[in-house]
Amino acid sequence: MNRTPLPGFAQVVLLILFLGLSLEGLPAGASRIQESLPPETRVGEWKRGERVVVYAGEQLYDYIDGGADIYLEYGFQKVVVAEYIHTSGKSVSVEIFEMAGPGSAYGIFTYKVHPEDERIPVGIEGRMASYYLNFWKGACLVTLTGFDDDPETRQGLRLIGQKIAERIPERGRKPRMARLLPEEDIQPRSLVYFRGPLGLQNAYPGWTLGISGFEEGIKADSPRGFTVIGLRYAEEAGVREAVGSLEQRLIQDVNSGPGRVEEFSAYEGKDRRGRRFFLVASGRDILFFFGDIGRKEAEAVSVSFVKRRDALFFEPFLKVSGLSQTAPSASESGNSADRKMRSFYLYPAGCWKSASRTGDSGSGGARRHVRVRGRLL
Amino acid sequence: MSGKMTRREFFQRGSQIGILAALGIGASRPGSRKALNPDRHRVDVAVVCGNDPDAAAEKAVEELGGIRRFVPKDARVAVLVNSQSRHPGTYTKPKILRALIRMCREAGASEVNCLTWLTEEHWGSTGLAAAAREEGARLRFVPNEEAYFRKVPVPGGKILDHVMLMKELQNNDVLIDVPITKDHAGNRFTGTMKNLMGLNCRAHNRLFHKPDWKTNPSSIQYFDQCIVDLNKTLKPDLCVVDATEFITTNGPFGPGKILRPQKVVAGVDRVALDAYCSSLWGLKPEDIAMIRLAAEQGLGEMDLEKVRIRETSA
Repeated sequence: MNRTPLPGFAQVVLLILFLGLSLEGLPAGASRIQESLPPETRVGEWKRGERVVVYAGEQLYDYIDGGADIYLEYGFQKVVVAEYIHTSGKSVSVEIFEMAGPGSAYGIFTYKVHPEDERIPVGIEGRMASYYLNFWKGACLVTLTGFDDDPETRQGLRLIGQKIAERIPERGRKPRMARLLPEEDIQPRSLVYFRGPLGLQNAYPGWTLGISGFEEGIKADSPRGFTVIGLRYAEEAGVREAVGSLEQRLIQDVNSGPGRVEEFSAYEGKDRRGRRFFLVASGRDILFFFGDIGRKEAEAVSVSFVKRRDALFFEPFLKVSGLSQTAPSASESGNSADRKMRSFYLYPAGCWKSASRTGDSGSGGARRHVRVRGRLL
Repeated sequence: MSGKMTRREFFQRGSQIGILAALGIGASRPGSRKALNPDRHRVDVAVVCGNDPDAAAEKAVEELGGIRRFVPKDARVAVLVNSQSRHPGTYTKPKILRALIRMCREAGASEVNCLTWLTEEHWGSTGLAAAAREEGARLRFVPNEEAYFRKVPVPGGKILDHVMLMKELQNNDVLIDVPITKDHAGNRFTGTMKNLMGLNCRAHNRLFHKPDWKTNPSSIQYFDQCIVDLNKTLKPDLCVVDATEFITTNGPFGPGKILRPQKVVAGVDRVALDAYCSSLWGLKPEDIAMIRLAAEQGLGEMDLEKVRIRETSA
């Protein structure tokens, strides 16, 4: 029998139909995240249940109803839900949340973990609580929940978690904003990264200042008894607007009014609960300090934050040109065992100047540039 | 209140209780329940601590005057539990539901109906479906479609002028609210008042968010006010709160950190109950906008110093 080859378009249609049938019941785009599940249905003594469900976008309300809002704020895309059953009958539920990107995945991870959770080597960062495990990798947050805290269940959480982590491509890092506070000033496990007011309210339930419009933010606790909250705006105008609205509140709420500290655009005020706080505005960022902290210490943390911020801003340039950042020192020159090496100031606009030509003392300008050593190209 | 109440007396009373008022039958207003029940019961909030949630639930209701105070003979009773997630500490304990159904039946209830717009899967995975059926209650899975809900005006609503309540509710005479108290990412706390969203159409619940809530912090409070408005329309006759073990982080779905006070908390004043339960994990009632607004608008007492609380064990 002669077989006539199918026309090209028909082959494409058949292929689409085949793919469509194989993904029956799954929303569009569901296939990729489903691939994060280990292909083998058995992981040790745990067997995957037949039912694998994917919820995309606002379908999340069908799955977790009132709990969906915070995920959507962080940039939820879709979630695959599966279950593993142990030979003893115990079960572990698996939720792989695909977020808008690594920053979103990291953010919702920080929202879900607790400072007391045990750090474990699964994914980029993993934390184990008594009966559940969270880790993030790439654009995914993975939550595995056991229904008791038996050693067998906890071992299952780790085992299945590791298998899933191996299948998630590693890409992206935690957001720059989450890398700006020096570790000596904060308890790293207390750091929460958020993308909206709901995240902020959950990260710091006592927040009563009511400003908004920020793009991203961080909250962290210091071992020295204070909490720092950083908010980043799309533009400096956003910071001015936010601080402006706060100034009115502060004037209303504090008899003495705000006290400006020139070099850092710093303010001091009291929130609606009467708690004293410091505010430092710099560029697109606002830092708030609550708790047991004096003005000088708040300024010192702010300076450190700003230096790190500017250094991270230039990170891509440093990599490309082979430059390396120097430790800040009082001396301008001092480079030069190798006469080709020189010190430069890099400015946020992306241009650079030779240290010898700038004449910049580095005090006030320290907020606006970073000093690097490198070779003239 | 005894089981000898005549049907006429029952309807006279029913005309003032929340469930009928919610459906436009009566003329309820905040506080009317207090007027109906003079100050003869010495306990506003009964707290019973114990390892058996069912025994604790029974004793808590007993401390309030007994189930017959709330469930007349032949009454049809609607029960609203929280069955949202099967993660530990996120759903009402099936044992508490069992105890309530048993109590209602002992009081002579003609029907006990568990109302929900969630799915059979939600109920099955939490063990609540088995508990309801084995104790002889009916599970009413109401499709999440507007045709199954009825528009009911909100008296004195600050934001909502109406809510969309399950039509199925009108086939019942008594409403018992049986939430689990726990953390909630949306407004920090869930308890008796927020649980009533489980009787309002899900599509309408979504309107509790102002369109700009993601960028405007003051709009988050809008959500709390909507819950308060819902509670102006719908007044449970009895609330029994599961505070045995619950999540204090990652609510409402979990998994999260679990606190185990092993308490069942019962009463009629939703504001007082929520204020008490929020204090179980160190929250201040005045910091929960929903509780503060409800107190300000006369739905109950937030100041626990003014609430008669009796704590016992079972």
